Amino acid sequence: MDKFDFEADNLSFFYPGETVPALDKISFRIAPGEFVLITGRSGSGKTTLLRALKPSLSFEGEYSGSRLFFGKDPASFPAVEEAQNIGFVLQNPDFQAVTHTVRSELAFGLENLGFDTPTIRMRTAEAAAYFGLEDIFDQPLSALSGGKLQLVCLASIIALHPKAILLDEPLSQLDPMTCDSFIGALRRLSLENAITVILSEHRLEKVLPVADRIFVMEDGKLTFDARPCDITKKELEKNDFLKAAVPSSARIVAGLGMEPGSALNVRDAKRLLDSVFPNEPAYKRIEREENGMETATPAVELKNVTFSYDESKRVLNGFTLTVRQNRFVGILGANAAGKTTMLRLMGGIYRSYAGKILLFGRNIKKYSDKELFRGTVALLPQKVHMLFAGNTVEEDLRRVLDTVDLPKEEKEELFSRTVGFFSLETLLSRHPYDISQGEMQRAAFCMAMLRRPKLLLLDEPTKGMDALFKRELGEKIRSLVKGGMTVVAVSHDSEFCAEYCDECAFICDGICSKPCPSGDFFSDNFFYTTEANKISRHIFENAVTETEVLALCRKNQNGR
Amino acid sequence: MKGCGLKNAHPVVGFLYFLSVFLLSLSMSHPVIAAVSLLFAVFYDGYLKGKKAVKSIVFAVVPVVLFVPLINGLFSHYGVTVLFVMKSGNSFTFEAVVYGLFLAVKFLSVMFWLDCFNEIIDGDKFVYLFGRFSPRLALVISMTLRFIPMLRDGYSEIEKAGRGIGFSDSDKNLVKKFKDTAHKLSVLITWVLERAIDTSYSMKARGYGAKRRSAYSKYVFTSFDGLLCAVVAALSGLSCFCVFGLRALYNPIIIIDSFTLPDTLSFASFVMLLLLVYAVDIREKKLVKPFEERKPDGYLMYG
Amino acid sequence: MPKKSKRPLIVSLVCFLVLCPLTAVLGALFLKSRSYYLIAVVMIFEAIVPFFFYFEHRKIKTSELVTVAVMISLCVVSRIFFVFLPQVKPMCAFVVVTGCVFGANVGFVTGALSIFISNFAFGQGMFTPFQMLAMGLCGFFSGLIFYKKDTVKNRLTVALSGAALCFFVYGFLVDTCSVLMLDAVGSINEAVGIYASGAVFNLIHAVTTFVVLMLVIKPMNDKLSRLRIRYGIFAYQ
Repeated sequence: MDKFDFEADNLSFFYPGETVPALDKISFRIAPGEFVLITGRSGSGKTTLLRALKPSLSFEGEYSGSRLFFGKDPASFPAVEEAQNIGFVLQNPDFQAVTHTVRSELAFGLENLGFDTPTIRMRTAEAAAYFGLEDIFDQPLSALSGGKLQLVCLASIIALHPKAILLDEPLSQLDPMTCDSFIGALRRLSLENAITVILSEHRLEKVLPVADRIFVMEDGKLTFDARPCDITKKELEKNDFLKAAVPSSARIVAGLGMEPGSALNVRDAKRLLDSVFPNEPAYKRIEREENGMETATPAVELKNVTFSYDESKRVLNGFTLTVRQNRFVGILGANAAGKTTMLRLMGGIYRSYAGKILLFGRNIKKYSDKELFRGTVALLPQKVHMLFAGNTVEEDLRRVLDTVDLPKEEKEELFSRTVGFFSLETLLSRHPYDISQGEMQRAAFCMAMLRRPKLLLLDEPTKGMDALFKRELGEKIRSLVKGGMTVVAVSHDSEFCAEYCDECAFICDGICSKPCPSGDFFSDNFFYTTEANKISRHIFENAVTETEVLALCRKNQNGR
Repeated sequence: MKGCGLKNAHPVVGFLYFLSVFLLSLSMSHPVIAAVSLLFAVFYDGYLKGKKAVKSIVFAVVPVVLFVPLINGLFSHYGVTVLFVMKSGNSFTFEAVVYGLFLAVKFLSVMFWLDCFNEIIDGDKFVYLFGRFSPRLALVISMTLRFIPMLRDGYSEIEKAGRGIGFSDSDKNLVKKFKDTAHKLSVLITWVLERAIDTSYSMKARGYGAKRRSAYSKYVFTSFDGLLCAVVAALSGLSCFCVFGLRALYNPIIIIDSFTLPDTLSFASFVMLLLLVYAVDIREKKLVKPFEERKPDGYLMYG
Repeated sequence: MPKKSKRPLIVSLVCFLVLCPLTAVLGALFLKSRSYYLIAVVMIFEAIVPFFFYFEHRKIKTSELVTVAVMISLCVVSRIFFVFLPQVKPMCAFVVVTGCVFGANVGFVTGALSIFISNFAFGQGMFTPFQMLAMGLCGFFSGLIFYKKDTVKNRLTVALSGAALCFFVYGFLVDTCSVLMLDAVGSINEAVGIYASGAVFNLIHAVTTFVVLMLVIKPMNDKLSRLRIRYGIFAYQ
């Protein structure tokens, strides 16, 4: 008989007092060493399912059906054995770490299970060496970046020598670079040490290539369970979420009428595209409308801005950038390139610098705080929860509304209009920490809009968002820009910028490239570009989004 | 690095050393011993902290040496040598001033030893010490040390986030400013309280409470640490003889015991105790030396 | 219901009834003229141990333990945050709130550890043991009086008693430390002088505590009762 790490048979779960199941008759078996990716919209039951696979963290409520861990049911699965064999990594690295140094964090689990000092010394050293943490072994955790911290959290679990690790959206707080190294570590664990990995994530492009199996959750049901290469075109058409979530190579391939499972990465999709166009196609360029970028008046101009946090290194060095009105401009760049700093300077949060910043033609230093923040500019931070403290979402929104200089009726009108725009009506009475990350982002967006800014600055607006939320956000921003607003977003998300931004620019080494239309920007780049462009650049000249690639393909195939 | 001998030694050595020094310094009543203790304390502080120590030496020594005798003179009127009679009719005596001076020296010596103690013993060593007696308390301290920098960073994030959506802190209105700060703190507290639940999940996931917890520490107790402990204990024991044996009286007349031969020997061991820290440092440096000396050979080989 | 361990009780009885008096007597006999301070410090250690011992052995949920750590960090940060304003320290207020919400023992531990940990930043000094005991007692007494009571409704009472604890317990003990350090036990005048000059500072401290308590009791109660309802942290049995 085959052995399985996890088995679920008709597993259902109800939260206390709820009649709608949070998990609905789920059945699966996970063999040792499998790398399983669980995906689905936020609120579809990913976390509930993962927690159900770790008895000590399972939500309280009513479980029915059966679940077995290494052949044992939860009641006969000792806590010590569970802690040792099933590791669990949570979403937020900051609060996952318990102690104050890397060393004690790595030892934490081992101490809990009563290992003796020599064993702990060996195991922590081994884990640190495996994950390349020796250099920071004695550092306080507060000195580490989010990515390193997440790696420490993983290492502290691996030090227990688990048979399986469960990870609940471990990537959502990481930037693309650290994201890659984290996935690399997981892949090594799975391939080299045969550790079972079960990971929930809603952005698939990074994880899908390394996963053995993909689960799609929908309203508590397990609607899809297959190998990634078995993802079919039919399935994509049926499943809206999956379609939005798969890498764009898969969508392009599906658009060309082939099975997406066969091309989940750029290389394979490129080969398929090659087979479609063995000869040079007739149409190689997408014609885009000129949007008159040189003529519009500038909303914000940075001229030779220089800024630093300490004397040793300048973050921005002679930084020059002009953003014209009524545009959605995306700024891309690596970590610590100065993106957030630039945004904060534009938003008047940092005030000391050399150079000149003009906001709608006027020096930013001439603005009073009131003029600046109430009606001119608003900056939405990356960590939106840093804006909420009330008992309800409404309380926090009203706090902003109170300081808006408008007559009472107009205020109320503004409030209901903005709340309606972001469809927050049902969330108003909830506690800010009871709503999902995406919903909180929306509420924060609403908060910024209550200020009626002419210039909206967004810091990583798509971080941790699922594909459908992203689409919604992109469309919201488009409609705001249509209404006359200027939006500047700094982001790592090339796909999002290519799809929704008018212009893009690149920050590197403290300076910024000139913003140019997204199409041109991405077709000129080699690494910082979209998958669609990487797939098609040897055939087409300037297609950067899937729609463009597919449009060109069709044009060539139909001869029109 | 200065003081690395004691810093790198097992925490027990450091604790034992400073405990002995504190106890001896607190129970001495002979002015010469107190003065020697102060002298060594100030010197060690300067040795450990370099220029940084100068400020604390000037700002602590001068006022205490000036004020404590003065205050003692103003409030205590014992003694036979009247310097002058105050308006209240009480006399300001030489004996009271001298006793005040002695108190100041004793107080300062403890203060400076504490300063050295703070340099040598860091949070980690305390966590280790607590871990021996109370693992739960040690864990709470460690968690607190984790949360404090997070709160600090979180607050600065909140400040910027708030400014970005129009809660500016450059409001002139003081009441408003105060309210604003209160709100920011409220955001901070909500954030940390709500998210801390994740910490407890992460602890449970790694088996906290599943079994009796063992205490791991990076410190290794070497035979040299054992030797040091023995030496510290022996020297402190010998020092007790002069520290407790020699007395001085200030009321009504000043009588200071003179040193006998055993006292002198005991006093010598006290001085040796205070010199021990330098010896440990010298040994530590010796451990490093051989590798430094080997370097030129290596260069020669390639040269 | 699991059987309660008797060990904490025994330890407390031994400490309070045997060790403390013994130290006092022995100290008076052998060390008297040398250092009242030393005797006091030893006694303080003996007084603090039972509280910590009880904390070590009581049943506590993991989430509760984390919350205690969070409260201690808040106390510490509130002390470091206002370092530039002498005596204006909201720490005592947060300790009182913790005591009210989580009970006497947690209140004591929070107070004592907050002082101890914040002194990592300020440097451990001769005051440390006295401050630890004093702040611990502030948390202890507020827990004793207000645990399981509606603190929001009795806001004024809580704030007033917080201020009183701050002035009489914390202020008195810390001034006693000065008296002992300067060996002013023998001269009543000097001791009175020290207490009198300390009173002004203590008053500022007490007023700060009162004001901060009036402000934070409601919001803190909101936040903590939410945790109680949602996660069952420190839910009353």
